[in-house]
Amino acid sequence: MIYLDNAATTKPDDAVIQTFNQMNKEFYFNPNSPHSAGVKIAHLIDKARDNIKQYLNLDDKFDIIFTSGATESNNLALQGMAQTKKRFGSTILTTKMEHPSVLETMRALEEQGFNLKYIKTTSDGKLDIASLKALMNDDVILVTCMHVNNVMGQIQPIEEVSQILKDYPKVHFHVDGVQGYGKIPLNINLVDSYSLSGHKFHGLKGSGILATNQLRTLKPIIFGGGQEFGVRSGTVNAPINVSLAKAMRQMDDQKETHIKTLTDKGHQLRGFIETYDSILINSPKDAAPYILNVSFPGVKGEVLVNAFSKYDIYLSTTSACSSKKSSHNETLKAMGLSNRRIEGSIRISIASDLTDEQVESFKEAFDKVYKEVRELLVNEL
Amino acid sequence: MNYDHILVRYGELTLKSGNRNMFVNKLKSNIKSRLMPLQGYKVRANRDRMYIDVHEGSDIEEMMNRISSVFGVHSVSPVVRIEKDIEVMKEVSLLFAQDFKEGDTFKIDVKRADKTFEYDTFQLQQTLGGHVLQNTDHISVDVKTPDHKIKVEVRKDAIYMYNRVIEGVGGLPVGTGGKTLLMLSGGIDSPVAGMEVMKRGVTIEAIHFHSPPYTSDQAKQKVIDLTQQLAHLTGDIKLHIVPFTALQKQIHKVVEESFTMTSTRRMMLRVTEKVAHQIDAQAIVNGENLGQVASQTLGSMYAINSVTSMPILRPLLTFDKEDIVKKAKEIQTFDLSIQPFEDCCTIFTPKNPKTNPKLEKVEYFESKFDFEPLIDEAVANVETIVISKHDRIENQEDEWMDDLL
Repeated sequence: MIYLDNAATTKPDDAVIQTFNQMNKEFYFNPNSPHSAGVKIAHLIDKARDNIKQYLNLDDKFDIIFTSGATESNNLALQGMAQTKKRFGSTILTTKMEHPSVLETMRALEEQGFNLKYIKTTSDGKLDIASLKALMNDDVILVTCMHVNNVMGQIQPIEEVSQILKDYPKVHFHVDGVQGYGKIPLNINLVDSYSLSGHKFHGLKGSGILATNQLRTLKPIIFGGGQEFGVRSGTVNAPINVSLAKAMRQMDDQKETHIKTLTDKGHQLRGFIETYDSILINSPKDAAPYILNVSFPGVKGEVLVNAFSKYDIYLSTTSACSSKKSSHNETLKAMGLSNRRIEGSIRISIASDLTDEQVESFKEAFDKVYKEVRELLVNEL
Repeated sequence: MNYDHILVRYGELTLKSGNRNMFVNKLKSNIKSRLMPLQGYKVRANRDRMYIDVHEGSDIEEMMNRISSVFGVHSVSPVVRIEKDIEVMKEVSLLFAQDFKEGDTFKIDVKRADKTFEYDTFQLQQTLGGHVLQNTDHISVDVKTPDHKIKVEVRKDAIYMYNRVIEGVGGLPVGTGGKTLLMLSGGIDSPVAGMEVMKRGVTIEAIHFHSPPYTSDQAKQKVIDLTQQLAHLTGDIKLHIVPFTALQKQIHKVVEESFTMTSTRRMMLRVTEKVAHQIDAQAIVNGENLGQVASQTLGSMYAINSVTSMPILRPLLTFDKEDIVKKAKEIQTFDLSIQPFEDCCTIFTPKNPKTNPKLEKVEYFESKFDFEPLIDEAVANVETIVISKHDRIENQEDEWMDDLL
């Protein structure tokens, strides 16, 4: 099997599974229980939080809230801060390229009376700084964008955005870090909140965090026993939270070799696909190397995914979260691509465990698939 | 700027005449101990001030940080020590000035302890100020309210130049004021009380009452952590943990419920006094505050205090609660103190404690049983731990945690 759908989810690391199992077998206690077994787990969770802060290079102003994943983290940050900030204004800004967990939350906020505005994107799919500047005014309370796009891999100019927002101290700046964490360096101290999901970097599904420097003013969206500083009630999922810290440690330990492998293999694949004239690479050259969006104009993405499946190669159309929906992908649309190109797009997303032999097998299979669909291809150039 | 010294100024030590050397020596050893984990320095102390020779590559900011928090230090400055040569002085003045921001003002501030130096104060100001002005175009002179003062001290041995003065915590060097025994409960107040007396030069040992199984190991650990936090700031501290269960049970057997709290405190004080004698402490310190809780009324204090003739120091007596909290946060004991573990005072709290207990009544209830043997037994079984100022006590749990994480 050649697994090339890592932007959808990654294979859990053995060490992470081991931690999770051991937690469930031996350390299943509730950290909120007053007995000493519970207290031990509470200490363990504290230490997990401290470690995570270290891995993220966060300064003391930040707190780590454990969640079930980035969808919940995004919801908590955006809904929670919108409620806090609504007395200062009502305008919230985002781009059309965000993940549904952000876009849908923003639309829900719009229905509640918030004034939702979209920051334009440039033709290569980056947040347009000029558009952001034009939209900024005293009514803006919330700005959010992703760090690395899940469909195309564009790296968004987080530093530049934070620079602009410095002049608007009441604005909360949220970044969805899901696809960038551990792979594309980012100074998270520049933003007000940051979410990530464990299963995108060899952790487990259902694990995630929101890191924020605004814990005190953040309003909860889940009410109950007051766990996680009162902003995320529900029995603390100690096995999941500790395994998340473990996954981050694995990432942190191998950061450099990891990034190097992703870059080398990504460039290798890109170079290979570029040799096919009628196949178009949608991901900009300066995008994250591990996400490669490719169009076979005239051929349906779904057909391609099936064709590759026959060779035991697993990749995806656009993004896994929206690939089952009939509507075209927001990101590709925001970039102004033609329908044919959008329909014929697939996403190849790699992890650092991809071997050289797998790359070679992929190339062979790619060539075979290309020959199978060649006569359907439309020249879009 | 390449600083080669840290100048340490003494606080009210300078008011001492006869035994100033003792104070200075104590301060010197406290500073050395505070700098212990760091490398590359030498401490020279004289009657008026202290110089730390800093070797190249040392973290001078970290050193100043540590020194400024030692009791007895009035202020510290990073200084450059130079030969008595006007050309070198000019050069160094300019180096300071280059770090000033566009539009800032400065003055040359001269202190001339060595009157034999060939330039007088006025000449030095003129020459150095003139040199700086000629060679910069972003700053100007303001002698009344300058943004920066380039300080020049002409001393017998050399010339010292600096432009920053960092305030120290003041007080007197710990170890110059005798020894006390601090009653450490685990609450917010008592660690602050300990800190307050240490600030006056007093050494402390700590005493804590532990009532297993009513109070948990976590409650005990919390007190160990608190002691460690204090030790971190002032040096090793001995912690005496008193097994208090038997006494507490007996009190509840013989004393009427509304008086048990008063009696409990009296027993604690009796134990504390005995331990204090054993360790040669000259006073007991506690975190009592007037009017905060039931045991802290004047009437209550009178009834409790009657069991001892030893001085009881209550440095927080008149503090507002918010000031205590603020101080607890400053010395970083607050977060430890608010951990929710029951201590032996809260476990047996009566429903309606007497806020104005009559001494005769307490004495009457206590006369029904001879507490002395139980007190002696508690004292005999005290567990004494030396809490080191260095890093937190190794947690035995760390290894399994590290595996999982």
